[in-house]
Amino acid sequence: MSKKYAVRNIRLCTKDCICLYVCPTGATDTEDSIIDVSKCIGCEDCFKACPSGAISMVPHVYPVQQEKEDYVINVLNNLMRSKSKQENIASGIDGRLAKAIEKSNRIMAEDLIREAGFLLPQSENTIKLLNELLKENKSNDYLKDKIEELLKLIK
Amino acid sequence: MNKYICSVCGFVYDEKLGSPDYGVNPNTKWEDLPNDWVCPWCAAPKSDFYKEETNKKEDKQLEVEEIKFEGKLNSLELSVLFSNLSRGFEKSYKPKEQKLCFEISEYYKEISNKIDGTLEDLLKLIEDDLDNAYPNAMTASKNDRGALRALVWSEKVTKILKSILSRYDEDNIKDNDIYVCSICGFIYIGNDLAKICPVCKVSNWKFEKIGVR
Ligand code: SF4
Ligand code: SF4
Ligand SMILES: [Zn+2]
Repeated sequence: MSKKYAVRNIRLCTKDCICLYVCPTGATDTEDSIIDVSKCIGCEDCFKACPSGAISMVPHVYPVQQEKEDYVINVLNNLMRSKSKQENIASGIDGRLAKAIEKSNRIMAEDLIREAGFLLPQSENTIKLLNELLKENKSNDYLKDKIEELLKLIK
Repeated sequence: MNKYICSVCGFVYDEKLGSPDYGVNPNTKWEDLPNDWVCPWCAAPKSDFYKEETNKKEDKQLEVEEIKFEGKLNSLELSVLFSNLSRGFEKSYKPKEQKLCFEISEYYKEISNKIDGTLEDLLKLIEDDLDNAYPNAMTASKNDRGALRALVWSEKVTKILKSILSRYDEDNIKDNDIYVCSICGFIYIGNDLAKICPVCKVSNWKFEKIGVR
């Protein structure tokens, strides 16, 4: 298997379909516009041919994340907790202003927790957390199913 | 000679250097800048600048090793974690994983305990973040570029939230649109949206309009 495969940014793609003609395996010719990973051999022909910069080559396996100091993780998580609490309070207040504040806090909290060790969604941290949640939620069918499915996809 | 920093975009006005590119001579005191002078980067007024405290960090010895995060993630925090993972999977073109994480995030949000409060309560939490949490977090993260980037963005957004909450309420925004930057959380209230986000510099199609007025 090649190290990389092609993905298409549907937002940038003009559907002119040069990539259809150059792909040696027909991987780009799909009705939902998502390039077929199982067919792509990573030759980069479509990536080079696309006039819209809509195709990226992404690795099958991402590099290991840089280590974070525990105290950095803790300060980020503490701020994330504060933003999450503010999102919670704002969600109970009527009006557009509160709605905007709710959203803003969610976005800040996401960004902070991302830097606290969840930058790559398929990282070891994520897998560890998913396994913990699975253990805690054995009797919760909804969560159990979703988490198991997710773990299967990531591995 | 002092330095003054724009709290919106981080531009530094150094009295010693002035701002020759923008017609201000070296050695121009902050007080001598005209009152209608604005930040050359983001057009914030002088009142949005603060003075750089040169010896602040030495004064306060922060024991970074002592900083703890108490307990586990609660339901809403798990919801945040999973909506973040969902965004991450979206960026790495994994639609199935993206959807699963989104569903798990929604589930955790649904079961989380609601906290009652008012806009004034929010303002108090914001002030506490700005006065305590951010200065400590910045010191602790000074060698971690990724963490610092996230802290700088969210601190700016938090300052903007503070200024919004002290200026606006539901009544006096009736005639304005409200947008939120989907990348950094910056809130814009008004009818003349800038081309790029003043905090994270993303172009404005990443802004989401809130409701209808
Ligand atoms: S070449 Fe680029 S723009 Fe054209 S269909 Fe393929 S991805 Fe879309
Ligand atoms: S990288 Fe090569 S094989 Fe893969 S989709 Fe593009 S043209 Fe086809
Ligand atoms: Zn932004």
